[in-house]
Amino acid sequence: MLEAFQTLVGTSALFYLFFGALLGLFVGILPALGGAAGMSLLIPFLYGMEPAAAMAMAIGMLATVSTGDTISSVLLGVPGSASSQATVLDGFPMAKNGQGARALAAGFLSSVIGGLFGAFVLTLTLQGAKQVILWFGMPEILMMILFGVASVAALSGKSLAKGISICAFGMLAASIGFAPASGEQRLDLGLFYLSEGLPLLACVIGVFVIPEIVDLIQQNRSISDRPSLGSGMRQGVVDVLRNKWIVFRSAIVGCLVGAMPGVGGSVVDWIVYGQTVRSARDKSMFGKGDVRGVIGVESSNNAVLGGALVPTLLFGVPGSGSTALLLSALILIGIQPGPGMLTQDINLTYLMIWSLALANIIGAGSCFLFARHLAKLTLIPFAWIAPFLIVAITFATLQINRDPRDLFLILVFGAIGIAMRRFGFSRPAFLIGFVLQQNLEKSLYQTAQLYSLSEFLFRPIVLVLLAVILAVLASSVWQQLQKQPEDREEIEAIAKTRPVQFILPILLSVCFASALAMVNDLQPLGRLFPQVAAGLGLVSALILLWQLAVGTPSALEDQRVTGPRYSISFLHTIAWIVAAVLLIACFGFFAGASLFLGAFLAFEARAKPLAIAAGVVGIMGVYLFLTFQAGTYLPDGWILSLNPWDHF
Amino acid sequence: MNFKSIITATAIAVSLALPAAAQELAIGRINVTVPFGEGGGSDTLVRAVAPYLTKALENEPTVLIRNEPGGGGIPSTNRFAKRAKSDGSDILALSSSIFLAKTLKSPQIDFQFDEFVPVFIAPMAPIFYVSPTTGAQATGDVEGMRGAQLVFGGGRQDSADIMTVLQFDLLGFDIKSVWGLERGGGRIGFERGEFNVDHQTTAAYVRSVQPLVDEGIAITFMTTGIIDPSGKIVRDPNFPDVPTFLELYQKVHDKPLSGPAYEAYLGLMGATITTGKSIVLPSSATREVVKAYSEAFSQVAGDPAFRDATKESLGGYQLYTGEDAQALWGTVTDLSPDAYAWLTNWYETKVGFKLPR
Repeated sequence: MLEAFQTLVGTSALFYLFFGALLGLFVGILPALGGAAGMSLLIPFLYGMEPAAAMAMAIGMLATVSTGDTISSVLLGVPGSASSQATVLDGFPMAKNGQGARALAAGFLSSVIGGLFGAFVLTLTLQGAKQVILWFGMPEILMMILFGVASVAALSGKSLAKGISICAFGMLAASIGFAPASGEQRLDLGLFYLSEGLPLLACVIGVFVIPEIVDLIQQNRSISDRPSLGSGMRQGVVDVLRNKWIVFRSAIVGCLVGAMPGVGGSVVDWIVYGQTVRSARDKSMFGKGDVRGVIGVESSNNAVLGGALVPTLLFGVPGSGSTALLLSALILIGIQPGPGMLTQDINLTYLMIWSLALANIIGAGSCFLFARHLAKLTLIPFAWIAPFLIVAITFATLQINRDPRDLFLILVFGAIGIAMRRFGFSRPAFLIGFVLQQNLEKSLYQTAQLYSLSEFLFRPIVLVLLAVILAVLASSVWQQLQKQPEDREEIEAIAKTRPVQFILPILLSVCFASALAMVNDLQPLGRLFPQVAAGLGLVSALILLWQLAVGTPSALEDQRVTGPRYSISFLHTIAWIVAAVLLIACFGFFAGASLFLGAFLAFEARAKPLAIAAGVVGIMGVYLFLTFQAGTYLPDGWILSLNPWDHF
Repeated sequence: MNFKSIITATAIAVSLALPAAAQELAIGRINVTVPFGEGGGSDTLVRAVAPYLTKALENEPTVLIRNEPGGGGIPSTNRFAKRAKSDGSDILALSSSIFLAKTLKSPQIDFQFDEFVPVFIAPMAPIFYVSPTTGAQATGDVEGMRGAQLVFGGGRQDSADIMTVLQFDLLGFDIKSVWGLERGGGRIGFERGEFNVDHQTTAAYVRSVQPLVDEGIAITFMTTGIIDPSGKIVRDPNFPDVPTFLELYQKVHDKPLSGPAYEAYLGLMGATITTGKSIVLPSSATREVVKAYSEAFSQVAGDPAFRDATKESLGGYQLYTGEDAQALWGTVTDLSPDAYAWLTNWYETKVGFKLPR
């Protein structure tokens, strides 16, 4: 173990660790880019590197993403990566109230504690890990996934029917493509494009990021509610110390969820957030700027990696998208993950743990030191940030599949996301359905094939998990029923826009009904899962429609009525995003994005020609450098190929 | 005509006007199309090959790797078959999954095997192991396992994993298959006792299965063997003491596997193992280009530094270039209607999976 530390500190590995950690912070701060995008940028560089240096860099990058993403979640209200979506809920309101520094300090400190805890747990479990994983057979994994699904109840917001129907929609969307049990193509509308299923990243960006960007552009001129860093760094540190139990508990949950193959970091923040809210005595401030919301989430999302490395290293089973990429990186540098990591490669394993611990300290340390500078990001007008965000998300999307059609998928899911946000459908519930569908369906089918019901029910871990799930469900439903009726006047105001509130539930019902019709002629194993999901979804969507028709208060929600008014029209904003997608699809990323950036900065930010040129050239230079360094390329435009690499 | 083709046309016109160049391959850049994302097997191979390939060609061209993921690599391979330039500036990395999709008549496939010329082939064979709970006592112990209910966890029904089910079924075992698992997940299921049959490639076997064999949790059972350029199936050179499936079949049934079943087996084996990882030129490539590449790849394959660097990822198998590669390529053909009908029927009755007609 000490030998590994000497290798790390005594060689160039330390330099690469620093580089990786800084890249992780950068990727984390950039909205929409997360660990997976960072890893896919990094992997091409790893080839031919010393295993120690390569792993130090890769782990360094992965470890700090969830530290850096705190900054954009708190100051911009846009999640820096998927694992800090829940940080926005309380972090952003805190920043609006002038407590940005407090939220950040609390976030950084809980991040580093969570990360160190993860490294510690990883060390501890290494010895006994093999046995633990062997206890977790298919039935246990199935129960863990169901535990994740059960958290939808807590995340549904005002209306359980909305939560269930949108979660079912997520599951249905994710079950497009190859049916694992029967090997059939289903719900693909006869399109080859859909035969591999919907790309996760494009859907997530559509549902989570597009509505936020639209919001950013729309509120451009309402400068008064732009948050500043404020003060209270010390207060943030005190908050963490005062809530050490939350930090500790969330880190444990982070490790556990991280170690569950397939569940991954993008869900853990919601699970932990739900848990933090449930366990708090005074819930009134959650969502309006309660520091405990930030502390819990940030502690857990840094601890995830420690947990996720256990199955990745020991069994070659990755726990998330980014660890799946880490796995390919390991194989790329000639290391075969497996029990061998505890024998031949034990030194490399320890080096990875040291890297994990050090990177967390480096990440949080630089955030503490440079928070003031990073906070200046918020002084840039939104009209300057939004177009760069749009360019960043299109780049990230193209980087994954190299398919311009994914950009149009962003628009489709962006529209759905905007409607979900406006009418109070929980977007995390959608994501949980989407992410867990595959694993849920597979492990249901595999468990049913290999275990009888009585074998299943006589496994102790299954019973414990079953009890936990039932308890969680019961308490969530109980809390739903306990909710106080809202202000009568507000309800009446919301009820006025009732006709538009019918749109989404009607569309969902149509979706569910047509899915039921489409899967009907598949084999039983291929259609069972989508039938259950669509059936449940249809029932809850119909209940919702009925509730809307009779005017049940919990079903009524319209943020357009209750939220702030914006000066820039919605259609105007949407037109810009559609224009960006069309330009990039037609002329390739570099030419299309430059045209869009130039036009947007000229018309919306009213920037001077020199500033526009600097902005376009600067960001395109960065992306060009990245693509060339990575040895990757982006797809040609549909109309005219203006890609730079055709001309050198 | 776009800008690029004007440049190309000009370049060709200029080069025709000049006296013949000294090098046989007068290109400054090679575009390698990898129809998968970064980090996969094909990508790893290509990135390992690239620096050696540059060195082996006289004017040391730049190698640019273009990853085109999506659709299981099929759209990208289709595009390559249609558009690749014949001057040697376009080469493609193919992988067993694409060969298998072709053998199983995926309707999306828009190319024929003879539209490509192989210049480098790296075969990759699996090794099969079983749990002692099946009753097996030693390698190839079919008798000891008689009557055991075998359970196997695989990835997709239309992937190379089907070979495990096919082979144990042909040996006369009742084998149940559960799908939707990663390869590593199958092994963990094996360690947990949920599965009692599994397979891994050589590299993964040495790492993760050998310890299980030493502990007595797993018993090495058989290999598929590999096809040599003369078309003969021989024992896996990495496991010369382990019998091949065909040997076991002969022992069990007292006659060799024959007829449409044999042809289907051979077709699947060729697609999944023999040509597993290949680098190809379009068949429109001129003879000079093919020759230059064949020689360059012979040099790469013969370079001890390259062999050493890829020992783990390629499993240390013999690498084929030039005529050997082309002879091996000939072993991968479309199945005859009889063999395909047999396979379709087998798939439907044993796995409940419908092949396209």
